[in-house]
Amino acid sequence: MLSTSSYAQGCTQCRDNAAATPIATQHAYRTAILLLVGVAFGIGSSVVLVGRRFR
Amino acid sequence: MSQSPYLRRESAGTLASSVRLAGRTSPIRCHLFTTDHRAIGRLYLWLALLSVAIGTILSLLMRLHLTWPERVLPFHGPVLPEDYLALVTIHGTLMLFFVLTTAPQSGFGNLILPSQIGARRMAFPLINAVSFWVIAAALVVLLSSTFVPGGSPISGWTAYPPLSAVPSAGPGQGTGIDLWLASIALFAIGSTMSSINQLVTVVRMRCEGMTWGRLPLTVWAWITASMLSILAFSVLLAALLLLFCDRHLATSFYLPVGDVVNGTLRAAGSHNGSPLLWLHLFWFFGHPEVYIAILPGMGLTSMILGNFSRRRVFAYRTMITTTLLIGFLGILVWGHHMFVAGLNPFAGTAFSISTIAIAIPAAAKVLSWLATIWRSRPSYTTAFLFSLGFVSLFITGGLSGPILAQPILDQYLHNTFFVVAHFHLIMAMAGIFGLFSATYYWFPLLANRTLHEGLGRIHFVGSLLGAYATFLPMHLTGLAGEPRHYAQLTSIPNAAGDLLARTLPLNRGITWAAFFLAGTQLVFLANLLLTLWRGPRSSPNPWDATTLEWHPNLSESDFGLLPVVYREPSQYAYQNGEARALPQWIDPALLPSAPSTSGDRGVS
Amino acid sequence: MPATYTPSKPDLDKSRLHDNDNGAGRRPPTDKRTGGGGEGDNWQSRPQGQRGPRERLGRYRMGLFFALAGDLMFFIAIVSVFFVARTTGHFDAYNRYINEWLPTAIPPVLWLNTAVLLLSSVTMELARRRMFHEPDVMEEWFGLGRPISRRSAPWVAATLCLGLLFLAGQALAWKQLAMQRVFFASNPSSHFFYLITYTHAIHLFLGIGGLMLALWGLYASRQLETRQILVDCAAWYWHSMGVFWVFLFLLLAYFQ
Repeated sequence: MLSTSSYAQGCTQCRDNAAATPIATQHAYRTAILLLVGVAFGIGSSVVLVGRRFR
Repeated sequence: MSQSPYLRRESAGTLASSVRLAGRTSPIRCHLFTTDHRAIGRLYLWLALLSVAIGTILSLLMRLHLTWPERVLPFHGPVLPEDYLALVTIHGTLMLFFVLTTAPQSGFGNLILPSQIGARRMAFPLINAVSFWVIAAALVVLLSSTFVPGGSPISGWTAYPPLSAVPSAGPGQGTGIDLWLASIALFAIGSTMSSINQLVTVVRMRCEGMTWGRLPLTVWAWITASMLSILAFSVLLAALLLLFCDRHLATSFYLPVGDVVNGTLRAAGSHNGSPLLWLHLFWFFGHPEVYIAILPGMGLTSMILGNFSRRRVFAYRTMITTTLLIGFLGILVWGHHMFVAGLNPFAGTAFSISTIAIAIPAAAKVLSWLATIWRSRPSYTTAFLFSLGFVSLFITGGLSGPILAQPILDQYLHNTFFVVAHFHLIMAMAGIFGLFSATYYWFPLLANRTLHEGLGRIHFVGSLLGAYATFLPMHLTGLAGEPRHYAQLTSIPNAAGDLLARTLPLNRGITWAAFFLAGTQLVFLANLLLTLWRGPRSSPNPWDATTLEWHPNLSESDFGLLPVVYREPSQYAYQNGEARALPQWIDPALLPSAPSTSGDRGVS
Repeated sequence: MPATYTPSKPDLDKSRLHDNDNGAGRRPPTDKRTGGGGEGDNWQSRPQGQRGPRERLGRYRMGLFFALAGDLMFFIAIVSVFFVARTTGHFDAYNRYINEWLPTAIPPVLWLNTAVLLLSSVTMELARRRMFHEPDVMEEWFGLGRPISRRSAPWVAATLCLGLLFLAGQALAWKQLAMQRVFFASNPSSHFFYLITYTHAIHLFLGIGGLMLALWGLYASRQLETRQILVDCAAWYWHSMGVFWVFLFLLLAYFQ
């Protein structure tokens, strides 16, 4: 079932792209992901905490 | 409809919100430009009904074109590839935003949420009305993109750059996608406002005795979805802003260097950007959005299964926790949409783990649904049937989730119809079944009439068969290699053509099934119109429900006493094998005897 | 003076007959700290509309805070893109890795602007506190003039002027950069400088709108609680924009 035509949509290009990304950029992506997740979790948790105050 | 007490209640509601037009309220004022949450909820439902009708017709056109590509559309001519992609885009945008987000979250949220928590109105009625009109404007802007030069955008509801950032990428990528951006930005603002309103309403306006633990699971689902909306839509707004800058202000946040679009190398300017950024920001919004669409359905399913099987919802507290957990984990999983987009393999692994982790609360929900109805003798009303259908579709669609959550398998499956099958079953069909369940269940509150049960059952059976017949075979064509977003499966010369040709018989079947599924909805429309025209009046609490929206004196409580809540929802007293509902508002002192109201499941 | 009047059970039942939560006729919120969590004195367990003088105020404030949480996410999204874009480069035709990021020199006037914005936060806080000053609130509640509006309006007006001064300063900074031929489209870093300052300025325009509304409310609104809500919400919004600005400014000044 794995025909050659479906390989064309596969991700060798993308993998090469990721491999060619400098370490600094990879770190930047990681920082950005953690920043987004961290703030979102912080806001979510504070909504829950605020909710607990108003039983 | 004009004699319904619910309409009288509406004008009373308008009064309460200090409009002071006693008796002289015009119908337009009362139904259209109103700050009453019930009227606004109804407006949202009409908007969603219009959108779902258009979206369904578009999807049928897509199926027609895939199966019989040489057919010419009347009043249009041959369907060009860009026409097909425009159909995909508008279908996806309408269904995701204007149906699956507005109807469960804002539509039923407005209609039911305040009465379910014992509030007279929403916290900010004016903001509520404004957010509806902003969303309605968003719909108008989106639909108007069809009529501008170049037509509708062709980059799907996800609008991946660089093609969405470059006007020369296709006919709809000029004015069309600018209108799309404006529409989605408006939608994001409107949804955020409406979510803030719901969140404050639930935190501050619950009636006496309505503690967090006694909130119906629907309300828990609504507030979790509201929280997700506030977080996700702001990020979407930022992403849209950056895309707008890329399109019009010569920036390159998403534009890489050496970008070849339609055979032209885009050389001018600095191109340090990366389309991956858009994917991160968009899916940071996009995945929570999926939960915004499905969480209300999950909450409602719990409540309806409990109500019609006369059982306490199994593991009620755990269900509250899983609702919140799905919300929190839903923020963490967006990377699984990007396994083939050049995501760092390390990040891929992390997102894969978090995605599989979300299966735990989801599976807990399924177990609770099954345990709630296990060996009960439920009354098989249409609402109950649609909830069962929700469970079935949720399981079927959910099971392909962990498959796609693995980067290795996703490499092969990502751009195939397997993914289309997955999200149509778990999000679109399950979401729609949740909506139908809500409609049949709450119709007595909407219009003071009960929808016809016989037609409802036909509607249910047809929809279930149609949904499975349409979307299950898509797994197979996807596994066989049928790609998404291909406008045409025939006349492709090489080995790919052979591969696609083999999927054609199955595709023909899918198209017939899709027409059957859409045709079945005509039964629902007929039921709706017939009932509104001359349906039987419903009794105050026809389902013998326990939650507060069925309070018999709710219409008087606008000026009268607010209800007081004494217990959790879905509580029943069991005597001689007979289950008697203990609504949340019944004072224990008024009960004849003191039956066991504890969590025993009453398996006699 | 019945400043800390706790309704008894019959009072509660009687008032449950009416939708009384518009603040008219009830004691408006003040800055006086009351309540010690005594027996039966938990406002949250009372029916809505009866949860103490701060109920309506608290509702609006909470709505504003949720909106600001969303707004924070908006800026966080832009900041995370900033971090990524700062380090991203590309390979040129000779296979050299190029990072085009050239830090945008911060016009010194921005330091002055920051000071102005912080000062405006101080004046706004003074205005906000004036709104809840208990002797004044009580005086007004008894119908003895409008001391609250009289004493608070100058501070709101001062904030308005300082806010406009800040925006003028921002415009000056943009002008100075334009004279150095640094425009929005010049460089990845200038994209962000302009994007961040523009979006923040748009938020400040909304804040100015809020301040004008509050100022108008101070004169036009008859209900003390409405005025308090207007000023209070405008103040919290204004403070948040100040905090956001400090955060964004430090980012632009030190993290390019």
